[in-house]
Amino acid sequence: MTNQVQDVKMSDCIMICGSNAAENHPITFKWVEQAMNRAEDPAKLIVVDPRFTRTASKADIFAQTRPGTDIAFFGALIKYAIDNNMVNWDYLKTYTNASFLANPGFGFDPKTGVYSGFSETTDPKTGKKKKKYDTATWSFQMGADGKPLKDPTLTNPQCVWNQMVNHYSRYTPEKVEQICGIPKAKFEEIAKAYCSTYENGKSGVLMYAMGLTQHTYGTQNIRTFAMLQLILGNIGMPGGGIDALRGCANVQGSTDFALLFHIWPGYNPTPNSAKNPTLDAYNAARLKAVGSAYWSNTPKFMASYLKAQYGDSATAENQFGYVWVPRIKDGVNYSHIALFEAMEKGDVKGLFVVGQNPAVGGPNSNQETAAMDKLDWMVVSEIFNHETPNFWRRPGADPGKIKTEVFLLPAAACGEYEGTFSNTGRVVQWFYKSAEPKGEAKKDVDFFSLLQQKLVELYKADAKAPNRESVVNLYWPYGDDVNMEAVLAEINGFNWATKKRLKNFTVLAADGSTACGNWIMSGVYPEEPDYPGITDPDPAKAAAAKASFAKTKGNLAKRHNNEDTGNVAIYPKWCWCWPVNRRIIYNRGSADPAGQPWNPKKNIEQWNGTKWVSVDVPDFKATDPALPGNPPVAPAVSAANPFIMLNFGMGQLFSLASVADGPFPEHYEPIESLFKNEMNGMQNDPMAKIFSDSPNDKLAPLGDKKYPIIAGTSRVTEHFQSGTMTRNMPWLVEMQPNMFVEMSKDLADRKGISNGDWVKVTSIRGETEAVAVVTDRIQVLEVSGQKTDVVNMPYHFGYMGYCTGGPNDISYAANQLTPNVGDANTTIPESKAFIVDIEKA
Amino acid sequence: MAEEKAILVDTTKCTACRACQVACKEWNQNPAEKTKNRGSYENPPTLGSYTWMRILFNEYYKDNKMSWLFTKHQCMHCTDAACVEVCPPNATTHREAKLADGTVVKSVATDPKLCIGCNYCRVACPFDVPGYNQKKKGIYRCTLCVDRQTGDKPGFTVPACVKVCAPGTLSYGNRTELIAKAEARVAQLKAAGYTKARLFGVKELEGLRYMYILTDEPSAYQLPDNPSIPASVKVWKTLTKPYGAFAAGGVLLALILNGIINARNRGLEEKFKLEQ
Ligand code: SF4
Ligand code: SF4
Repeated sequence: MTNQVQDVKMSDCIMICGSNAAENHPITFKWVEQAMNRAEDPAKLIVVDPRFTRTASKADIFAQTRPGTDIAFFGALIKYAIDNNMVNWDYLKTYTNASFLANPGFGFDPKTGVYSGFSETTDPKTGKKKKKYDTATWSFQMGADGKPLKDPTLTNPQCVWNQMVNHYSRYTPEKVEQICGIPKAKFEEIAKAYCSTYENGKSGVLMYAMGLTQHTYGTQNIRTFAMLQLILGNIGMPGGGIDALRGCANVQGSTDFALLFHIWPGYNPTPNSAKNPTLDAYNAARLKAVGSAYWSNTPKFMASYLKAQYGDSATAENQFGYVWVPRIKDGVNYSHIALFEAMEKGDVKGLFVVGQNPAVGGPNSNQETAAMDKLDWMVVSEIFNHETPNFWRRPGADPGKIKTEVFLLPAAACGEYEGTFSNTGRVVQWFYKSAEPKGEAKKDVDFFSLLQQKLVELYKADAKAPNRESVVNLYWPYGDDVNMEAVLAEINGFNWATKKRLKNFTVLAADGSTACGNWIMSGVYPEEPDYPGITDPDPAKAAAAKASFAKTKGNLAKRHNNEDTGNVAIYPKWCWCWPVNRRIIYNRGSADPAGQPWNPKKNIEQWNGTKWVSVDVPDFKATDPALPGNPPVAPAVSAANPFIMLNFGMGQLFSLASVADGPFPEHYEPIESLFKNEMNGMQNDPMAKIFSDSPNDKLAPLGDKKYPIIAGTSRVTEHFQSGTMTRNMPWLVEMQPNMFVEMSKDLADRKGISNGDWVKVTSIRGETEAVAVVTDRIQVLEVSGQKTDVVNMPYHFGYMGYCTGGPNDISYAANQLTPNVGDANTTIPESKAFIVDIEKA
Repeated sequence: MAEEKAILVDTTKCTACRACQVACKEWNQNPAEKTKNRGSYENPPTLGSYTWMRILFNEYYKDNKMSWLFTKHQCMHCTDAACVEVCPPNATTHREAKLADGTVVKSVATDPKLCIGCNYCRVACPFDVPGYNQKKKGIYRCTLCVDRQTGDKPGFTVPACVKVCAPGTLSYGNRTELIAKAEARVAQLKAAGYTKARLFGVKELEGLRYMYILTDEPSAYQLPDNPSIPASVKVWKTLTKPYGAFAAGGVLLALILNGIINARNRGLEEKFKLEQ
C-alpha cells in the first residue's frame, strides 16, 4: 500500500475492484466502514466485481463486470476525468511527467494493437513465435542538461499529457458497455462519484487484490488506476493512494524479503549474469535504469547487504562477496510457473515447500502435481499434512510409478515462536510466542539454520564442491534455536566493527564498514541514542520515549502506542513502518506546490514559512543534511522532485521501459476469452507469459464452443488460501463444508441445475465437482450484444484433511482448471479469467 | 429499576464474516456439526443443541439491484417470552444476574434437568429459536455470555460475539445508552436516504435483549414484523400450566396445545423437516 490500513477512514470515495475485502480482509474493511459511517461527509463505496459479494453488500454503487476487462473500465475513467475537466491541474502539471515530451518515434497503433518497436519472429527450430519490443522509443526527448524537455502549457502534441489524452480517447462509455458489460448509465454514475475526488482536499482510494493482479496484464491494471490517481491528485494524500490488499498476514514481509526470484531484499533487482558482471556494473545499471539521483545510494545498500551475507569474508577485493552470489541467466524466468515447468522437464530435481500448498494453490495444478512426479526429492515443512507432500497419492495417480522421496517436517505454528509480521500497510509488527511447539516441531528459521550448518560442514569437507565459496563464507551465527531479535538486528543493520545497531539506512556505507540485511527495514531496531523522541527538548516527551525504550529495548516493532498525533489516522508510535517509519509514501503530494495542504483536515506536511511541520515522515527533501545545521528546504525544491525515488522525480503517467507491455496500459483480452478484442487489433497482451512446454499447457481457442462460460477463482472468509489450515478446523468447515460454484439462475435453468445440486466444472485442462450455488448475485451479462455467463469458484479445496470439499475420492481443487499463463511483467498466473463448461454431475 | 445490559446489532455494518458464530462455539465449546452446502453460505441449517447463534443470509434482486442482508440469529431473551409462558414443567425461566456496576443481565434459560422434551417452546417462540436440531436432553440457547459478563471467568466481560465483531456491528452495554446510540444511527441512516431505517427490539415483546438496526421491514431479515405471543399461549398458561408438569405427559393436552397454536408454524415444521 502507498498508505495505511487505518488511513482508509480518511477517504471520500473508496473504489474496490478485484477485491472482496469484507470477506478476505475483514479488519481492513472495518476502516472502509468507518469512512462510510463518518458523521460529516461520509465516504462513498464503489464496488466493481464479477459478482455481488459480501463486500458489494455494503456498497453505495455496485457494478457487475466481465472478468479481465478492468483496463477498459479504468481507461474510460481517465477519459471521463479529462472530458469533464475533473483534473487536479496544479498537481498534474507540477508533480507528474505530463509535461515531458515523449520521443517522437513513440506511438501506439490501435489497428495493430502494439506500441512502437514491436516485432514478431518465428524460431526456425521450434516454430514458436517470439514477440518482442525494442523499447528505445519509450523514452523522453532529452535536453542538453540531461533532463527531459517539457511543455508546461501541455499544448505540444508530443507531450505525455496529449499522448495520453489521445490514447484513451477510444475508451468511451459505449466501449465499457460493450467490453465490460457495465451499462453506460452505471458507468457514468461511478465515474462521476469517483472522479469528484479531483477537487482540492478530496481523496479517493483504490483497494484491490488478486482480482486485478492475476491477469496477463495485472501490472497494467494497477498502473491504469495509478494514472487516474495522479490525474485526480490522489497520490500522497491521506485517504488516497493505491492500496494493495495482500493475501495473507505477512505477504508484504515476504516480498520485502524477496521471496521472489527477480529481487533481493529491499527490492533491488537480482543480479543478472550477463548484465551485471561486477558490483560496480550492477550499481551503475541500477542508477541508469531508475534515472533518479536517489539511486546513487545503491552501492551503500548493496555493500551492506553483501556484508550481512558474507561477514568477514566480504572484502573490497571480492566485491564484498558479489563474486559468489547466484545470478539469474539473462532472459530466463524463474517464477512459480516456470519452476514447475522446469521440474516437469526434469531440469529441477529437488523442491523445498515451506508454507505453501501448490498441489491446490498453484495454477494448472494437474501440471504442477505431474511435475512433482518427476522430482527426486521433496521436503515439506508444514503444520498440517496436506496435499503437496501427498501428491503421489492424489486421486488418479499411481503411487507405484512415482519415485520421489518425500520428507515431511513438522513446523511450529505462528504463536509458537516470535518474530515480525509486515502488514499490507508496511507496518512491521512484533508477535510473541504464546505456546511451546508440539513434539519435534520447529520454527521454519530453525530448520533452515540447521540445514545451513550442515551444508557448510559438507561444503567445507569437499574442496571441489561447486559454488563452494558462496556457501562456506555465509555469515549466519545464530545456531540451532535462532534468536529472532538478533536476526532483526542484522536486518536493521549494524556497524561491522563495533556491532552497534544503526540509526537507519542514511548511515549505510559502501566500504564494507556496515552490514544491513534489508535496507528498507533499517531503522526498525535502533540503539538508545537514536530512539525516536529520546532527545526531544520537551522533557515530558523525552521521558515518554525513555519509558518506551525501557520496554522495547529499541525494537520499534514492539511499540503499541495508538496515539493519532495529527488526528489524520497516522499512528507514528504504533510499531514501525518501512521506510523510516513513513506511513504515507509520496506524501509531498498531500500539499500544494507552495507547501500548503490541499485540505487542512488532511494536513500531514505543511511549510509554515520557515520550515516544514510534519505529522508523517517527509518523503521529500524537507531539510538538507549536507549543509551545516541541517537547514529547512523551501517547498519549491521538493515540488520539483515530489517522487524522489522515481524517474526524474515525477509521478509516472508515462512509464519508461520498466513496464514490459507499454508506457500506457492498453486493453487486451484474457488469454482464454469468448470475445474478440474490441479496443484494438491485438487479441492478447503481446508480452504475456504463455507457457507451452508441458502436455497440460492447453489453452482453449478464442470463443471455443466447448467452453462457453467465463470462470474465475476466489476466496471466502471462512477459508484461507489453499485451505491447509482452515480445512482442518471443524468450526470453519461447518460453515463452508463444500467446494461450490456460484452461477446465475438463468444459467442454472438452461443447464437444468437446481440450487444445491452437484455439478461438474470442466476446462480444457481439468475438471472438478462443486455444489451449485444458484444466485441472483450473478446476472447474465450483455457483452458485445451477446448474453454472457460468468461463474466463480473458491480455490480452497483439495483431496486431503478433515475436509476435502466433497464426498467423492477426487480433487476438489479449482486450480485444476486454471491455465499456466502469466502477467507480462510479474508472471503472476491468470486465474481470474478463463473459460469452462458446467453440467450436472 | 436497575439498568439492564443488552446487545445492539447494527445490521448495516454486518459483513457476515461470522466471527461471532465461531466465537460463540469457541467460548461455549460447542462442537462443529457435519454440514453440507445446500446452495447457500448459510450453515448450520438451524440453531440447535450445539449451535446457539448463526448468521442468516437474505438475498434479494429487485429492480436490477442486488442486495444481501445479514441477520444475527439467536435467542432474543424476550421480556415477554413465549417459551417461558408455555413451558409445562417451568424448566424455562427468566434469570437475572447482578453485575458489579449495579446493572443486571436478564436472560432466559432452560434447566435441562427439568426439561421434559415436549418442544412446546419451539412451537411458541416467535423467533424460531429453541427445540431445533436437538442432540442432547434439554433446550440450549444463547446465554448472553452471562458467565463472561459477571466476571466469573476473570479477564472476560463483553459477550464473545461482541468481542470479535470487527466492523462494530455488535455493541454491548447499558440498554438505555444503546437505545440512544441506535436512535442517533437510525436518524443518520434516514438522512442518508434509508427511508425504512428503524430500530427493532425496543418495544417488541416488552423489550428484547438483542436490538437491531434495520434498513428494511423486519421480515426482510427473517424477523417477524410484529412478534407476539399467540393468545392461545396465554390461555394455555392460565388454564393449564398450574398442572403442566403432570399434564404435559398426557398426549391429549399436548395435542390440544399443538392444535391451537400451530397454524403459524406449519410452514416452519416443513422447513425444519427439510433441513434435517
Ligand atoms: S462478527 Fe459482526 S460483522 Fe461478523 S457476522 Fe458477526 S455481527 Fe456480522
Ligand atoms: S427468542 Fe424465543 S427462545 Fe428466546 S426468549 Fe424469546 S421466545 Fe424464548
